[in-house]
Amino acid sequence: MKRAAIAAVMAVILVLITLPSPVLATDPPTLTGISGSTGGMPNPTTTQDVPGVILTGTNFIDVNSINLDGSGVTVFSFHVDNSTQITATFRLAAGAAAGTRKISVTTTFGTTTENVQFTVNAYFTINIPATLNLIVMAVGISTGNTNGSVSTNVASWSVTAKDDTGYMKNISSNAPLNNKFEISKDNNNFVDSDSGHGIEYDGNPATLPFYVSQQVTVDDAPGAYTITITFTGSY
Amino acid sequence: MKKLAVIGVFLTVCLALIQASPVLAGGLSVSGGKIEVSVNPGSSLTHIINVENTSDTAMNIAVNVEGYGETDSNDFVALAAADDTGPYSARSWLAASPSSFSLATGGTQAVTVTINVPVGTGSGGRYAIVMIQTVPDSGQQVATVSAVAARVLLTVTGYSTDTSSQITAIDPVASTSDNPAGIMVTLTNNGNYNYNPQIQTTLKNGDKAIATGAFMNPGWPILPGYSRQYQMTFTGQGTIPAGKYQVDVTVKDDAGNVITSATAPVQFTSTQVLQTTTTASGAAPVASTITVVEKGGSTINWTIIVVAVIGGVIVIVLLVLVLQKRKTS
Repeated sequence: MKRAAIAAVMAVILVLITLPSPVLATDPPTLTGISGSTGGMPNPTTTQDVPGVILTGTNFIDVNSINLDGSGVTVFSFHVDNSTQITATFRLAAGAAAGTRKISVTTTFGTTTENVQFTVNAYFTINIPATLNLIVMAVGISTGNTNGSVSTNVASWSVTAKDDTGYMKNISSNAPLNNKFEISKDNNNFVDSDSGHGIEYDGNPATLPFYVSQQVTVDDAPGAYTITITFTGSY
Repeated sequence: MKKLAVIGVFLTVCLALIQASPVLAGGLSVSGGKIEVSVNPGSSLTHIINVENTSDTAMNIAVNVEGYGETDSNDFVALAAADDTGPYSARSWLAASPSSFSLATGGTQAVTVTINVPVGTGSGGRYAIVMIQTVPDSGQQVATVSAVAARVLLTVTGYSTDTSSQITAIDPVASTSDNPAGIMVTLTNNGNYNYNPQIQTTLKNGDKAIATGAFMNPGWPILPGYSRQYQMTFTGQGTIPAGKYQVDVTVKDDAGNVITSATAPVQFTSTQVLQTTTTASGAAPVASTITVVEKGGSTINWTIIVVAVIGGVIVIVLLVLVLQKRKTS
């Protein structure tokens, strides 16, 4: 019986030695590239998945996790295709900030350090009521107001509101009123709406409060007048 | 007579334009609305700007290529061809297609911007704007246009860039009941390339620093050939009396390289209130850990381990059986 036990142990040792070791690859991984979906566009209100992110490199063995720096992008799932390729689905948080995120792959044997990046694309939505009516203007001051808004995932943006000439003009004759059309974003500090003035919204708040004022005098000719205020945003 | 005129104006000025309540027709959404690339002389490249109508009404949209300029206080201005005469304009290199289209609610349109860089293009940056804007409804009293200015910033490769700049004015800004004292710095970019200025100022009484101010540009560059004004508030302790002081100003680029610096005397004619130094409290550091929600397969070969173990067990069993058989026989 004793001899049998010794023989059995030796046999097991022999089998284990002859089989390939499962932990032979002890080199840390490297990440050399990203293809397929290299970036994605977040949804302003809900999460957005980006499938088909293909990561290439070496030593993708015993992969524990894939990480992205910054915020707004997580790894929803990944599959190690082989030791040199991983296919992943990234998840973008609602309104995830535009920019790049450095990707790293962590295995049992280390974490990649190469600068391979995933890009969150920028979006910029400007929403302005198409018309603002003062109804019937009489001698004196007519005012009105409305609100626009901006939805974006960029940190720095600007919107300017102005008209080329700053005057309401007669629809038929194109003759202007005597006083310039004035605009404001706080109902107090009104400025001329011409190209040399106008108002500017910077970054915050995301709503664009908009107030207008037109001084009508007895010298203004009766008629229908119009003006177009252009809200131009950029980032 | 005057009364009649008043009544006449009252009744007829804009009478024809009585309209219903404002209709939300904005919702002009643009992605890819900034083009910032390096280009080789003689090369051609394309860029896609995606335009979407996220409003609840259809919209007509026009696309135009315009010059990109700045003013002292405006981060950007679109320049008509007649006004876009600077040496660093890329307007003539660009074409956008389609130049006009209609979008139903939820509709999208890809606008292709083609950039043709002439052979022999010299050094420096080149700049333009692709303006995407709604076409206003005619006959409205106050019509509005929603527009997105897609800025184009090109770097011509093969040359060194020059961001030489000059501080052309340093003006004190007196405190008010709403705002602390500060300084207005006017900066002129005399080089051939844009950069985002980072400005630091120090208010001194003799050799003693008594307040500081800083402007960390969040992303709007100063273009070559343009001047811009940057206002900063002074942060210090309490107030400073009326008198003559000195201001040191240092301008750095995005990378922290010093572009220019200057020192100037300033005078406040009354006691000035400074912005009091405050320290944020209770703000926890923002975690940047990414959680892996689901993990896929792994290449560690657990199958081999299992096979090895099972194989070993089978060998042992066989050996035991063989030995027992021999023993019994």
